[in-house]
Amino acid sequence: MDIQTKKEANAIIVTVSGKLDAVTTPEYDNVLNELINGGETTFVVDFDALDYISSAGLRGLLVMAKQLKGKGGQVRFANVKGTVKEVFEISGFGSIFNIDDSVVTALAALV
Amino acid sequence: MISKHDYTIFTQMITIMNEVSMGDTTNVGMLYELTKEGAYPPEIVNLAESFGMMLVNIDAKQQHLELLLEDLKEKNSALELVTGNLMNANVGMLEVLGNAIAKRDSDTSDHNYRVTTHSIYLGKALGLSKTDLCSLIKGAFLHDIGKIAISDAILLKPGKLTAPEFDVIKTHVNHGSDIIRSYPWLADAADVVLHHHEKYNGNGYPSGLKGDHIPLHARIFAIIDVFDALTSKRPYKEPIPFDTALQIMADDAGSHFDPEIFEVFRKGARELHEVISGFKEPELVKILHSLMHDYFETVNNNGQVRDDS
Repeated sequence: MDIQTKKEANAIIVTVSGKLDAVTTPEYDNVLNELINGGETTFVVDFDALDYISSAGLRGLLVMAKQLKGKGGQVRFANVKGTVKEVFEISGFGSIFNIDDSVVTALAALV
Repeated sequence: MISKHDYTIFTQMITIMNEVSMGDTTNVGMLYELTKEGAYPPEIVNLAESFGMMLVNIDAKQQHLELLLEDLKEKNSALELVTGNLMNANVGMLEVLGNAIAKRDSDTSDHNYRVTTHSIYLGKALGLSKTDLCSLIKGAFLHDIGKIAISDAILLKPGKLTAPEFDVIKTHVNHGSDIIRSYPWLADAADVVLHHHEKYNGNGYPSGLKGDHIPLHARIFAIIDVFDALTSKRPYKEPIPFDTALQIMADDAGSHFDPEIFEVFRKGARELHEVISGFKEPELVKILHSLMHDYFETVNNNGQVRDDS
């Protein structure tokens, strides 16, 4: 799994690629924790290059969202497609997360 | 064939599942550890993955419920504000309407304020519920609203009315009833508006109702209305002294008035009259507002209870 972060005017864009599972999710957790503890509150996660997400990965996303909510922050998901999209739907993520078609749309919604 | 090692992991997983089923999620991390493909036998990985998905599912549902609850609370607060504002508007309009009618046949609305105030005290003394008191208040304030439909020639005639002219005046109760029945919030004032000229012995109008067939609020109000007419100044007469007025009315207890209600009225009348009869309109308005405050929970735009000081 590869994780890249980029600071935009109003949010941090987190790009994940490969797989988010029990092996790779701890790395995701670490990167996010560091940013959140550093005071960042607004995130857009770009799922375009993510091929697969397991229960551990989903859990990681839920944990991050709860953390952010506690600090009055927010996160939006962009480019969720394919099997990842199916899994999101089965898990009910659609009713609790903001999911956008693109990073641009997500950033616009954060203004 | 399960190896001894596999069996240990399996029992570990069962322990964690039992803990979670009792609400203890401390060791859930270990469960997700077991989903690592290749690190553990596939049967265990698959089972752990299924269980992990189940937990994610439940967590997501929980969060959704929390979101819905927050939304509901917000909507509820907004609704309470709207209801408060609506009540404000209704009560405000009640006064506007009553005062508008008063302008037709008298220059002041003192009468409306006095009779409404007296009605509240008599109603309370009779043990009326809050809902009933609200109806009584509305009816008292708007009792003569039907007069708007009566022509000036008759309504403002200085001399005595002929029989046909009196018949026209009598229709004010029907007109009044028509007017208020069209608005749900006012509809419960109909008892007073329509029947405040009925007499206990059945000789009143419009329907010649007798005794307990006359709605309670109308029986209450009839006493107050006549009392105020007798004891206040009118263009054609001076006020009658309190004791004389009470005697005149006592003679009619049983014929015009409900005798039981009259007794209760008689007990509290002197004190109340002494206080109220001296007041001019501004004070009467204040008194009524503060009384109505108890029955109509009026709130201002910030959701705070209306303060008329």
